[in-house]
Amino acid sequence: MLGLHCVLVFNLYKLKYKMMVLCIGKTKKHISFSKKIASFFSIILIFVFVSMNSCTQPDKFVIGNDLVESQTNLKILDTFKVALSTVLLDSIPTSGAVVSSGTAKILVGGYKNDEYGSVGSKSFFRLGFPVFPTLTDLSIYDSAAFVLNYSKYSYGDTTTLMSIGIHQLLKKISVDETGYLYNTSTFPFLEEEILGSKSFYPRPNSADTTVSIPVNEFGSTLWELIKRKDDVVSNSESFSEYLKGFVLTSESSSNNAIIGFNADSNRLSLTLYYHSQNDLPDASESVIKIRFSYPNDQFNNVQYDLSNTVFSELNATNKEIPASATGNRALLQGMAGIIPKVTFPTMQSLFDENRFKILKAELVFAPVKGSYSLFKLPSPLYLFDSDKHNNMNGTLIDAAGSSVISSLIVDNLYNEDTRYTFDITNFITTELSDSYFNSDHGILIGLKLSDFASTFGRLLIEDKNPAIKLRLYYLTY
Amino acid sequence: MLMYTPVKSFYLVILFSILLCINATAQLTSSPYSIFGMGTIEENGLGESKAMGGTGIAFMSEHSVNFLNPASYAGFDSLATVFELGLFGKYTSYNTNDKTQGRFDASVKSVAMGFKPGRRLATSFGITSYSTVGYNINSQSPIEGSVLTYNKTFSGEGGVNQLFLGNSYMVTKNLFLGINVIYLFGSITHSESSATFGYLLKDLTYLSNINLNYGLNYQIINKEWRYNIGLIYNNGKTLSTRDVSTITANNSVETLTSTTHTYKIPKDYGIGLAVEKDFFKVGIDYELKRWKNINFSNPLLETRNSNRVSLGVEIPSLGLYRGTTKMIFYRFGAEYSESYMIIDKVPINYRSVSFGAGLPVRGALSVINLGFEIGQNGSKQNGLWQENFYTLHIDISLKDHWFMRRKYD
Repeated sequence: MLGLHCVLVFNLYKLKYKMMVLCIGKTKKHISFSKKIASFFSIILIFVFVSMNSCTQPDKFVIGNDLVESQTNLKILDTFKVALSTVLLDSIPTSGAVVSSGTAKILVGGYKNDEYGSVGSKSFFRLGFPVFPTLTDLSIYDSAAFVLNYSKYSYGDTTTLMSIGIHQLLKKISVDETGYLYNTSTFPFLEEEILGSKSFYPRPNSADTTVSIPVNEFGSTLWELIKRKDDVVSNSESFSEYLKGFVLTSESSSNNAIIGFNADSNRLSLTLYYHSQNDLPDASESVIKIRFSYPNDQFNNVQYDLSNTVFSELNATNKEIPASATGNRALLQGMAGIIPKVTFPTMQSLFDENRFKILKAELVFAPVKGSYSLFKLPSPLYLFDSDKHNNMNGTLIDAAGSSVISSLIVDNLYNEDTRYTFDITNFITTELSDSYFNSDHGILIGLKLSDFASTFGRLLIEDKNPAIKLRLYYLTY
Repeated sequence: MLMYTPVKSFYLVILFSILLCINATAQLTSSPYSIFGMGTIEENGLGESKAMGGTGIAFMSEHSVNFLNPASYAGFDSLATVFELGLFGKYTSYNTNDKTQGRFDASVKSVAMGFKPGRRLATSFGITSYSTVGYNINSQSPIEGSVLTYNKTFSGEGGVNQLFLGNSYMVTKNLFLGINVIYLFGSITHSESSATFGYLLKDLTYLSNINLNYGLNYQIINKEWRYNIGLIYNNGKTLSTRDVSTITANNSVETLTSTTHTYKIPKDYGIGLAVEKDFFKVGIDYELKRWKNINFSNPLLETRNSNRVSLGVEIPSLGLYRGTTKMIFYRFGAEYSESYMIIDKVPINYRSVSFGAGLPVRGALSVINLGFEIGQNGSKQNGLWQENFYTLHIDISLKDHWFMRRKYD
């Protein structure tokens, strides 16, 4: 329309010009005529604008409702089978490179649950090479401790007494060829050779409280090396060859919580305390801080035990179990790599209908009742594209390119209608676009990737009452 | 005799750019009744006839191009070229038994040009609309398999234009014959969409064909009295169509194998009588269109032959200017027409009264014809609605002496 106006305006311009040419040497009558034409066309222009506006005005027009004959029919179909299973991923990366720096944490402890399985975590990390002070004969070693700061993350029952210990590794931590370390990665250390241990009531929400694990004997050995300026403490390489790395372990089978500590050079260190003989009595202690470093080499090794649960058959050789074999439920366990999977085995029959469009597809399921009384339901959940090998092929996205996340409705009153809903329209329509629905193409239901690698978020999905559903808004025309 | 000066080529350029405009703003009127067939059929009367109930079968073209009867072109002033532009603004209120909604539309309605290349021959060409489709209906549709409903919009736009070239020939000084060769073209889009679910089903039909309108005017002059009888006829035509249906969903468009629609122009007969004396003029028209045997495969719609009767009066201003180029004409008229539609057993009829004036433009031979029409269309029965409308027709008729060959120029 704009183009047409331009034509019109252009013509008007040309008209005036040509009329002027014509008017030269002509009678007065012609001049007035040309003026009239100009004003007349202004009227036209105004009218065309008015008409444009009237054509485009948005209407809330309902009159005529009875005359329309609908060519389209929209229906909701939720009868397509959704095959739900629990998948054990080979491994999930838990090292600092996966987890964004703000959320990276040392996770240590254990949590037991007979219904959903028991989990435990030990955490591997390395220390850096500090600037050592020059120690004289007057410098007197006092004590040493690993000083940890709560990250405010905890999982389980923090009211019970916890016992954790620290061991030195026999081999230096290094990432594998992928650049990551995994929940299944481990480095050798001797269980019985414990540098130090600590029993305490965890107070994860008090950020100012530290947990110190005394390692006086280990500290004293190190003190001697520093004092005599041993080759070991002369440079970063020989020092890290000497220290190799440490692992924080859960030292008691009665531990019932997993506690997060900061993996941060300012908030985790091996601290040596000493003083000088000529110090005044009230002089403050001197310290040597050997700080946490190499964040990409920090990772958490996760253990899980499903043996007394319905998921007991899930193991490294049997990596997928249908929900029907596990009491019509599927399990999500962060850090352990246990993740629910859905596939849509009967979707191909959609093509029995000639003309159709899927306008919206929603995946809807409920958590198992009673499974979330102690722990909050994780929200939002994320979806991951998967295949028949159960690979985790990236976060599922919508048509606009944003991650598909769940909306959670919690029915606090009756506990009946609590459910998660995902809009998976883009997944379904993309899969349908070549007129073939690959039933191996599946979706893993997990936590946000960094949370999946750094938290023990857990969910049990119900598949019977009610069953997990694919709700299709289906248009025929 | 015909001289191609720059001014003339200019008119043509303007004419065609306006044609394009008409095509682009094809949605001339809005009425949910236009959901059927080619939509609302526009009457052929242009210009001054709009203030006389659309009457004009027996009138000769004097102040404007009378497209109703091609024989009328013989009435052009032999020295002048008429350039004519028709505009309208229309306010409609739509009334059902329980609600009322209003809407304003305005647009260019027609562009035409006429001149006499010879003593016996008169020519006209231009464009006007044959029919218009314009509706936008919101509806709550159920979602099958649930208790839910969703918002669905039905809309239609477009119409059929007629690009015409007409000639009239003076056989004797009493008998004039004329023919309009009409190229009918346009497109009609019906669509169904939902913003909530992001889909659009669009059925677009391109239509075109050539049709002929014939006209006759017989004139008897008896002293100051002039009597005219006009006859018009067209044989009807089936339009050629090309249909493009698409469905847009999930941000992708798919072209569908579509069902073809048939659109037909009905046979049309009309007779008109006019009497004129001392610039006083009275005319009546009767027109019949044979829609009855044209079937729209719509269970709600039954067709019948459409009838139009109208009466028009033209009165000159009294006093000094009478008989001069400064004379003002006052016009009155009334129209009753039974459309081809019987919807759900309810006949859709149109009635209106109109009045207006032909105002000369000072210092030129040009005239601005204003017409104001008040009327009703449709009925509130069986859940239908009545449209009460107020239309202002503005018809600008420019005349210039293009073909005057001055002896001393």
